Amino acid sequence: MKKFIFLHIIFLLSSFSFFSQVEFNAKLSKNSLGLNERVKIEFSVDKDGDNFTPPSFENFRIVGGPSQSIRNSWVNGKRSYSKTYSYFLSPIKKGYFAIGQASIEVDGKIYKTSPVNINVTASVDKPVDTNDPDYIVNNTIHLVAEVSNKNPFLNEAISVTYKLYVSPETGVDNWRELDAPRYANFWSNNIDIKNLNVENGTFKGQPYRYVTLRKALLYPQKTGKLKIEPLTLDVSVQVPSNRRDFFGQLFTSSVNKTVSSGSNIISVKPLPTSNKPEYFSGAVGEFDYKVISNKEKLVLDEAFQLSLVVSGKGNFNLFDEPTIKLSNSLEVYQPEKEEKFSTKISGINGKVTNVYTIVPGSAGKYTIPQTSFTYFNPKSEEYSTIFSDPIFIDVEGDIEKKSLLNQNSQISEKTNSIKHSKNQFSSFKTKTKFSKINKKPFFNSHYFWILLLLPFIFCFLIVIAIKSLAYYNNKGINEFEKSKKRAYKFLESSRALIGDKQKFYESLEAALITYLKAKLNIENSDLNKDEINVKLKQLKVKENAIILLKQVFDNCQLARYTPINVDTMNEDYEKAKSFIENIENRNYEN
Amino acid sequence: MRIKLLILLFFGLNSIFPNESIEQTSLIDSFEKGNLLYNNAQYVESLENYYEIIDSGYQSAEVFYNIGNCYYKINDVANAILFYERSILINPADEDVKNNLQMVRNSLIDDIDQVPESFFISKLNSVSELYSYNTWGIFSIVLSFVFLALFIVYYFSKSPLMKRSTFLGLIFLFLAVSIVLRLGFNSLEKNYIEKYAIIFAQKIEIKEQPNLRSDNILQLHKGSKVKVIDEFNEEWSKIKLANGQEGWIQNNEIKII
Repeated sequence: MKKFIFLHIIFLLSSFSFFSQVEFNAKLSKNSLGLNERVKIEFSVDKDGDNFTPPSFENFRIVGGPSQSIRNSWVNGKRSYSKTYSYFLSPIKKGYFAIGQASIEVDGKIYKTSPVNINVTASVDKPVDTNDPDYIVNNTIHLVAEVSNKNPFLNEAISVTYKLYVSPETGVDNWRELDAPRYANFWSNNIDIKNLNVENGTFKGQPYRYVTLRKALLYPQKTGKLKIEPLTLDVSVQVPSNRRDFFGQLFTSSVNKTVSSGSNIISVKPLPTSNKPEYFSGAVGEFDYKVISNKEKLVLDEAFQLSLVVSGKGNFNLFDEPTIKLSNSLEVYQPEKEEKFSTKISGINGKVTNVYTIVPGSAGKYTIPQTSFTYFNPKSEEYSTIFSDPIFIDVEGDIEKKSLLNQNSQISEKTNSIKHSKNQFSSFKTKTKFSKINKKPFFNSHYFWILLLLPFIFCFLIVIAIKSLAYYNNKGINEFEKSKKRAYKFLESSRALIGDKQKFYESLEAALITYLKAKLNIENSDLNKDEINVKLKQLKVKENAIILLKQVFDNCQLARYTPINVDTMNEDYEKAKSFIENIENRNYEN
Repeated sequence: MRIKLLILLFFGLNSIFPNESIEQTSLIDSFEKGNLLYNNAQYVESLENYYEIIDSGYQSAEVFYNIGNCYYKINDVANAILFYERSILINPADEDVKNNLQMVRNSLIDDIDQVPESFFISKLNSVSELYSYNTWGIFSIVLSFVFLALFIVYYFSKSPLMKRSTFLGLIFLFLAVSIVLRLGFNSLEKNYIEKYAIIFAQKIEIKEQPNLRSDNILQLHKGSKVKVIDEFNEEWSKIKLANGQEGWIQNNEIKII
């Protein structure tokens, strides 16, 4: 068994070596140099090889080399090996040149490097010594500010990342911030970096190690061109020198260098004005909006909590949170604000909750009206509005409201007093009577007025009827009174005419006839003595009175033909007068 | 003569309160079916039954009240208020309707101040609300007939004591008839001539003039009651709030009570 495992390991190791490729490449210390400078070229191979053939360095003159060095190291059980041939070259003329291929034989195979290009410029004032620490530092340390979006919308989150790129040849052992960037016209939030991690990356095509120093989340607060101030660092850099120690390791020297990220210009777009909703909160990002009530049914005097929740990603703290307009019959307390944020490089993720504590004032139904939250989505470049659903809260009247005192005492438990509660929803009606829709109201209609005024009209009619009846009843009496007056007049005039036989008797007769006609209701034509007698008898006039009347009438007849003396006239006058008075008195007695 | 009048009176009353017993029974069937469904919490189905009654051209304070209750249960606040108000128009004295209306009014967002009325007017309004205008009308007619009876007693009585007391009674009755008439007219004005409406839009701007360009005067919310005082073009209504403010609103945003 042990043997088997051993064989496996052998196999694995051998297969490892089979698959590993041979790397053989050329590397220039600098790609561009002045005519009066030198360049170092290194050909390195990671396997032991033989028969190294350098390229023909045309246009260059070999000023040093070839020198050979072998490095062999074991790191974590992994062997790394490198064999380097290096030359120092000095250009002969200006121009773009290619250094041709070098070749080497490894395990019987020939490997070649790819040609490398080099630019030879005019002579420089001071030939750069590639080993000069300052030169190395300038080309190997870079501070870069990376902006996620140079053309954001107002209030759209952008991030700035400051990265320090360090070439593999150098090392950084310390830095100090000289000038922290200020973000004028931005709402900024620094994102803390807990551990500095060195990562591998490339910078301008060259392999570099980099470390992220600083991250900031920015929300532009102004439109137009905005400048991000640079970050400036003082870095102490470990630079390899030419000298080597006893073991062949390079000595390093420490150089302080000031690096700056350079300022970035960001042009901020305003939010589109077309289709801009009226109640735009100023929120930019992606949000969700909800209104939640913790209860939908409660008893009077209980409180409930209403939460307005805005969650999502965007410019939290920079927009107006939605508010709610509630009925005045609700007692609403100042909302409690709960915030939960996590700031990430892509923006602030989080949740803002406004919790309203609400106490209904009376029983009934309450509507928490629909509310809306409008935000701008920079991705779709559109405004969107989220509407919350209206919530209905049913508050029941205090049916079984017990005070604390009552709960403690035992006696009250036994008495179950049922009080009429007004704060309760009344149930449906079971009985009804229908009437036509759109019926004209009875009140103020013709029928109504007729019915209303009818009794009053009746009153008038009754009065009028009674009065006129009375009038008709009195009419005869009045006639009689008039005739009687006329009769008395005749009687008076006849008295004055005593002596004048003719006129006296005419007047006396007229008086009597007028009186009798009125008294007995006799028309002129019916006037004869017999009828007068009958009627008088009907009136139960005394016999002697009738005789008296007859005598007077006889005398009236006689007087026309016979002379009559004054005494008889007086006598007749008295007789007529007494006759009338007699009847009248009798009448009055009745 | 008297008999004729009595006949006239009888027929008159008959045409005011027609005896439509056959139709009434089918209506009551729908009504009771609605009640049953309501009791089983099937409010939407219950509404259908109640609406059958109204669609056939009949109404009653109770059916409007029950419809209002259905809308209350299905959280349709504006419709609930509308139907409670319609019920109150027919029978202003029902305490249940007032109670439920008060409960649903909690949902209103607008708080419109009432212009304070004089003591006399407010008393008049509160008393005239006790009965419908038709009931006041019947009261006044009954009182006028009592007046007639008393007048006859007055006119034909011989004893001076009787005459004096009946005369006082007549004066009192005459005053009573005029007061009842005044209450009836007040009720008629409030419940028949004056038009009120309920706002159905969630949120609506009241305009200065009947067009969309004009300035907003104020904002009203669902369920608020407004008085309609004018109309324009069958599209706009001029409304007046309880606090005296006036403005224009589109007709499709409101429903007349």
